[in-house]
Amino acid sequence: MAVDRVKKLQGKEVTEQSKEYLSDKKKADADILEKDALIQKYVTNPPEKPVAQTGSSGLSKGKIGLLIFVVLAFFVGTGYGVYVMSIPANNSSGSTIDVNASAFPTVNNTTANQTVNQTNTASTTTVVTTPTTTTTVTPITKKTTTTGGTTGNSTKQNNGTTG
Amino acid sequence: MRKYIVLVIFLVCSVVFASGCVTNKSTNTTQTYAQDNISFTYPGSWEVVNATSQNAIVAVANPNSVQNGTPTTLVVIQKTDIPAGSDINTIYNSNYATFFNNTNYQRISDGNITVNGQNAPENVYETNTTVNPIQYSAVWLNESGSIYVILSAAPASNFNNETMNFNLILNSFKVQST
Repeated sequence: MAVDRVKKLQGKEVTEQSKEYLSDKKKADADILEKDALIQKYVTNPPEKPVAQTGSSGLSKGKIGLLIFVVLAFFVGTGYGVYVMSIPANNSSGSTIDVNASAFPTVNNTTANQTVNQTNTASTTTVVTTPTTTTTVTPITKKTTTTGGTTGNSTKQNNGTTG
Repeated sequence: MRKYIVLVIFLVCSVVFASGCVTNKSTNTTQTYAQDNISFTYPGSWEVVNATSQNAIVAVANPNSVQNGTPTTLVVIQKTDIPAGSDINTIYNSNYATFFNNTNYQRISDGNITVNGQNAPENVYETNTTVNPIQYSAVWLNESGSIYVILSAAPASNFNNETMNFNLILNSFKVQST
């Protein structure tokens, strides 16, 4: 555009292309104007509602401080309560109190000294000896009386009885 | 006037929050024991104590009940295996047939109760002493092939008052399957 104007001022010819460009631009401008006119004619904006003005800041410094205090107190109290409740569980171990109660009978672990009385039975062996009486009969020698020319020997042997 | 309102609110909040930090362990808080494959809840004012009895897993007791170095209000949990071919009732009957040969104890009652939907034999007895007898309640539970005996004890004169604490342990008792 600026180039075309300079050329015009210098007396030079403006190309057809530039003229077309100008006519197109005029058309575009006309369309825009037409659209704006239609919009203004048919499109209406809703009436602006008056914005309710909120009170200035609303909370005073005192109220804000109180609110902060309540919130802090809530968390501090809750935390302390949880801490206190967890303490007994940790301290429950290591008690020195002994408990010996039992549901079962008490078993004595001590070994009873069992005295075994061994009775030494005196074995009496009775040996029955049968007395043997031996009677020895010694032969009695009798005098021999010789009568006549006869000589005779007479011997008696008595066998002993075994009783 | 506005300052007074803020002051009153501050005082009310202080009282409310301070009361939330005060605990009454004997009535409100509880503790949980979870070791040795078992777990249960017991009163917050009680302590885990050293169980020296046979087959004992754990014992909890009220430290305020200690007399002569031994607590009188307590719960002991004992475990014994069930031999093959036997059952909890057989072992229970055999146990107490022998147990009461000891003349230090006399039987009060013998029956069954329901614990968490499970039928459990219970034997109640007390020490055979004229001065401050101790009452015992032994509840036998069959869990995972083993017998767990929950033995609760308290002075006979105070046993009923401790029932709530005993039931807290009994009803919360669980065996963790391995």
